[in-house]
Amino acid sequence: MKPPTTCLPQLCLCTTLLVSALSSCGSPSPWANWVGAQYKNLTKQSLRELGGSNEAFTPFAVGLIADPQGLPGYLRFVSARLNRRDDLAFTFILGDITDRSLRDEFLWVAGVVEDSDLPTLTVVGNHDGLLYGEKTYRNLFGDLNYSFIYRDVKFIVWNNNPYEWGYPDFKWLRAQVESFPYVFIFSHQPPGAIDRYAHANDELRDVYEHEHVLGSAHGHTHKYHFQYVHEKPVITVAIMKEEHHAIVHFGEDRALRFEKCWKDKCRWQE
Amino acid sequence: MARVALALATLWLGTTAFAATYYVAQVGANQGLLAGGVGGDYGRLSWATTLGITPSAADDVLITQVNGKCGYAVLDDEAYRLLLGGALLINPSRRTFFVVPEKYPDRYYPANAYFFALQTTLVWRHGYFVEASILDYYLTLLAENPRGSINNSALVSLGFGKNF
Repeated sequence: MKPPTTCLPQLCLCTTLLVSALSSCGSPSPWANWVGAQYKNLTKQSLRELGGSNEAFTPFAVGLIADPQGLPGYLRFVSARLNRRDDLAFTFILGDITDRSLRDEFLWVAGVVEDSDLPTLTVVGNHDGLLYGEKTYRNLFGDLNYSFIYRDVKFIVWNNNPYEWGYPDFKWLRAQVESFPYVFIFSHQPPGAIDRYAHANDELRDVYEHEHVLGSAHGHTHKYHFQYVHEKPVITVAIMKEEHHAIVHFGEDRALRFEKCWKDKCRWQE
Repeated sequence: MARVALALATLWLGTTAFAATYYVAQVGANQGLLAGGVGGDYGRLSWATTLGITPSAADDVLITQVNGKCGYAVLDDEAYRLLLGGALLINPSRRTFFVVPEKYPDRYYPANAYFFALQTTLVWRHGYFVEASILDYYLTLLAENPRGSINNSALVSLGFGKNF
């Protein structure tokens, strides 16, 4: 009598191959929101790489990228361009890292952050708060509001997207400004362009009155704009399509200067 | 709006079930981690409607979507068929919207309750199939980003299943 044949090894092999292919090849659903262990707490990781929290002030510069929503290819190019500069301490992405808060979009940006030689930090934008965006952002990057000190300057990263998270947390912002003599603010929406609550713009402008505030950088409007609010420089960086970006220099005595860049060409903001 | 869409999708699923000639079960290809439904063949044309579910990392436990897909057999061999076609994927949850809710300014966000997808499916005669699907949104990303800057495999959702 012939022994019963079995196709178990083949079945196991096929299943393994299919599962491997699936796990490496896109989301099973456009709305899938779970993220693996590949990227976790990227903010914490970048801050660890950055260090410098106990260092005395010496001049440094920071690369600024705004609104890479739907532009993961350009983001990779700009990140590589910033990595080639030797005068940057870190890179900052000024929100709207996704267009539709899809998991894939977050993962593409997380991949760029992970691959970058420079520590890369982010602030959440309004486009990142749709669907399961908040959960995914927190899983991949970390807190929506946070702060850190680098070479005796405190950087305040503040979520100010009112449609998605309600009226911005000014109490937290004011406490952070109060807590250190030299602070620089990163938020997605610039003063004068905060959506939904006109009063939030006035309240934000008032924050610049505080002597601790050195200036701020933003995205959201997709256009370059430079203004002084209570004599503090405020830059809004253009969407990074065509590789637009900016550099903020913290010079002697923490005086701020900005460069507006397009590909390899940069010019000083007068 | 979401409830109307769900009702229409359910009606569509129920109506087409009468014309179905087989059941479909599949994994991935933008249809959900697990999807099940009915389908049928008319000459070189194939169609299927499925209900897909995907576990959620958020508090709503399951992401549910209704899918409709159709394809045309560009190759129709004794052993297999190669279908090219499209799919409509609908997620009528409270988090999604078909038109921008009134609280937002006009055109503030694109609709996120549905996507169209282009797909290709290789179906063997015994009913097993593999499917590759790419969202319309991802096709626009390919067009708007520099050539070669996005890993194409990151845009494609691969799946497999069986018609029975």
